[in-house]
Amino acid sequence: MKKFLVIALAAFCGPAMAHEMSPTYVEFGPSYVDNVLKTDIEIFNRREDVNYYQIEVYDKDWKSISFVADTKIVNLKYLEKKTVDVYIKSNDKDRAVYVCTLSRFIKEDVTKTNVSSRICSKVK
Amino acid sequence: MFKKVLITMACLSAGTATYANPVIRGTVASKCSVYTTTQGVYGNPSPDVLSTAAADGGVQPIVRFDVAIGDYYYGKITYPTAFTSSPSLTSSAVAWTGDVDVSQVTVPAMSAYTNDVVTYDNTYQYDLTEAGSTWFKVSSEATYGVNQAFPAGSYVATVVAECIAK
Repeated sequence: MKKFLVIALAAFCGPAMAHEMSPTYVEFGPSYVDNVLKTDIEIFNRREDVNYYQIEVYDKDWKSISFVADTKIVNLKYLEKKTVDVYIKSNDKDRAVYVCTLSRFIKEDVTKTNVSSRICSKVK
Repeated sequence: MFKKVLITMACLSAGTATYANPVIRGTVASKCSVYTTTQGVYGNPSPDVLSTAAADGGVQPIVRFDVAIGDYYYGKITYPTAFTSSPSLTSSAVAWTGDVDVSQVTVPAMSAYTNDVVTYDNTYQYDLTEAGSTWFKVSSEATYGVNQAFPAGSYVATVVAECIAK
């Protein structure tokens, strides 16, 4: 019984790795530049195997929308949390529907079948 | 005089401490987290097949979605149809199959996800209507040409797990 418990605990206490992003719904508001709107997202990296997350903005048909961020590929160490400002043109306000973060791997670090994670917030 | 002021101040601060009500506040916001519970491994049961099935010596990748509040997100899982990296081979000659299924749930109502899934191409889309954790296991199999052996080397494929706000 003890052995079973130890095995069960070992199985469930394995290194689960997570990608988190909030908020669920983002709102673009005015920025310090005319005709440019801003929102911010928070990314939390609980994936030991990932150190980079790419920011993406899409319309309702999942077509890319141009945007500016402090950096489009965010370097996040394990268990690090970062808030990133995302800017779009005010003309694109009604087109932008999703703001996403996608985990990125460094090619030489990829040695086995892996899971790429993407989380998308919806624009209010 | 100074002593009296000190005593009065001490009494006042002590009184304040007596009436202070420590409060712990918290908010549960709708949020989705994507966990990689198990990384997959391809087994090589025969020279022309790579498979994550346990019977073939592989390991199925398992992905967990945690949602804080139900009915705010779709969970999308896409099994691979190409290698991220591999030795040189004719990619058109590789036939891919795969499957995604619910493997574990924290709320009994989540069992309905299996029947309510929407599938297209190699993607499985689940409506995450319940708050809690759901585990999904992914299977993948690649078969190379007709009676052709996969060249020796390392093969990597990527499963994509997405959490899309409704």
